[in-house]
Amino acid sequence: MLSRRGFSMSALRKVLSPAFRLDSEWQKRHSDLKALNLGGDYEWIAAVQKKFVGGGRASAVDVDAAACLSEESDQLEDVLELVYKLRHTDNAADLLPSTEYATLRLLLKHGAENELFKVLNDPINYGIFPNYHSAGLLLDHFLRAENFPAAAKIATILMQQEMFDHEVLNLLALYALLKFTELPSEARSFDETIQKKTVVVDEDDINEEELRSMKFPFLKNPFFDGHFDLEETDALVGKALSWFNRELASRIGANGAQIDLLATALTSDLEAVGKAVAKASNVSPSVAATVKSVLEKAVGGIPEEGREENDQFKAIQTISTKLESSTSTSTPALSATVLEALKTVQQAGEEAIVKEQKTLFTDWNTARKARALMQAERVNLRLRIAEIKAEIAQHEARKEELFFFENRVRWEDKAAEQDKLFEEFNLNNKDETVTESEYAKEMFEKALEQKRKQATA
Amino acid sequence: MSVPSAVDKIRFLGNHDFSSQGKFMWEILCQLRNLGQGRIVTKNEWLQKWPTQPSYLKIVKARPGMDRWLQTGVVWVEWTFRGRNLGIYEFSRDLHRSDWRLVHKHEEAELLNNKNAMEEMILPDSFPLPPLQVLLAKKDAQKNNQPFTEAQTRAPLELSIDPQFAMLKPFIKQAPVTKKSHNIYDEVDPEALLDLYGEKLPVKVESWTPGPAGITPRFHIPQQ
Repeated sequence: MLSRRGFSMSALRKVLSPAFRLDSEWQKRHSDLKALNLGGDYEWIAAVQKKFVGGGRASAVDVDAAACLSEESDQLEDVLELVYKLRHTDNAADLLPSTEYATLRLLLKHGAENELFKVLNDPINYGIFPNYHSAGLLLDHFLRAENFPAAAKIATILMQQEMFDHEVLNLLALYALLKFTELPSEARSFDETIQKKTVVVDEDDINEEELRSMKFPFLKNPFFDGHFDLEETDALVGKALSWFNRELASRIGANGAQIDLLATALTSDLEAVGKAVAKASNVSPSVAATVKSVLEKAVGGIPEEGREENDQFKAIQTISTKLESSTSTSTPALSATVLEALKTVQQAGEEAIVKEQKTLFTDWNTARKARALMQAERVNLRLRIAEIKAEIAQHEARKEELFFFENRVRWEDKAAEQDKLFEEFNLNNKDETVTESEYAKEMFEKALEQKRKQATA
Repeated sequence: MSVPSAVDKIRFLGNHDFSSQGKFMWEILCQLRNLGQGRIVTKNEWLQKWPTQPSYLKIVKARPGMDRWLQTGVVWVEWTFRGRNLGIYEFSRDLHRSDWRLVHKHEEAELLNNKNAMEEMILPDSFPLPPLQVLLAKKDAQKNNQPFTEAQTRAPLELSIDPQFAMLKPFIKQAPVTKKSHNIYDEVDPEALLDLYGEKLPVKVESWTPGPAGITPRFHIPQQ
């Protein structure tokens, strides 16, 4: 069934090929993990949780093994808890890349979108970042499900981490962003699941009685860095569009001006939009529709009375007319153009990422094994040291016994010293006015002092 | 996402770091993949003081302390200060100023290719002795029939470099004085020293000290 516009059947498959998922290679990790002899997955997770109890800590390898072993949905919460706990220790820097990858794959496997975005939106507390392959998997998953807001959010995460090395992912992310902008304006927002927003606490909810003071040498100046601090949907999507446009300038070519127009409409003021409209030609109807909806929202902000005379309204009208004149119905939707470009690089691009990921799998396995062995060796060495110390103490005691008579003079001197001190402190005469507990305390303190003197002598 | 029903009011005490514009180092690094390994960070203070000379840190390894306010941790960086590559340094103590800024990858080239570098600071290698001391030395030489040369009116200058500028030691050189005078202020080029301030007036935010202001007498002044 060929559509009239001449798009082939393959264009309907708007996503990456199933071979990209590397399911079988990922499953192979279990055979390597079995070699570590960790017992069952539930048991290992419980063991790692026990390590964290009471202020203790587990190592990055432990958490990694727990994350990689997990396959079931009820282990998901526990794995996230372990990752959170590791991130809040000194060893946060040791987090292995395979842990991040395994957690994201587990979240995707069970379609736990709430947890997924909770983790992705909170990099400081979780430390889970997608790598190129997992980013591809995430984009793929959401585009297949036609969840364009979620796919656009993943694209903005790629923009924030500046992961622009693979062209195929750049194009896929751009495609996701464009599909998002082509949605009607009511659907064009990141809801609470996908985007975390800073909650402004109401004045009434602040408990004035419980006043806590926190002292620091220097107080922080509020600063909006316009990158990680972005929370508004339009700002995020606009910035992502302009950055991907810059990275794909050579591939996109003439359509770059249209993407620029979209980005400017979403982020900047009217003057900039006017300039961008002037630069764009043969604007596709989809882009025009999006820009129009943004302009309509701006018009909605101007009060009804005296609207005709308002300067801003007139500016908006000029831009709208210019836009209408630049629009040409023969230009296909921008997302379709990007999709065509994606098709040309898809196979080679996918192969590159897949190859990289396969080598990563083997590297991760060897690294994990090496670290697990090192950890086990360290534990064994610690036990051995304790054993050796006990043995030494034993030998010292035996030596004292054996050389008792040779050291007779030394013992006699020591005894004389003790006698003198007993005399000094009058310990021979038991004072009947002193209570039992006071007497015991006195004796204890004197004995401690003696020990200290002997240590320094 | 529900707002808690009652939030304790937190009062933050400390000096208002008015000259800083940026984020904590750890705030930036903890939001980056791989804890920002290979990325470049710069400090707003450096940008303002020496805008033409590039100063930045390239992250080699970061180990955050993950304390509640993201102020502790150790980061090993390759430090390029005012266009001079100083090698690998460990930054662990003063990361509690929110003055750091991430340099995006497309902006890195601008910094890395900027060839403006700090010039060497030339300071004199000798200084004129105090006039009274010179007079007494002359008198002493006359009394003992010793010659008194011009060179004896000067002494070698051993620089005392503040720990704050310890990293600039390789670039602080001493040279013989061209224009000798009795006054040390005439012999040193003030621009060489003012260059350490750069283009910004010194803003020292006093670190927080407890208690009210007081006077501590330093010398014993005998009663009249």
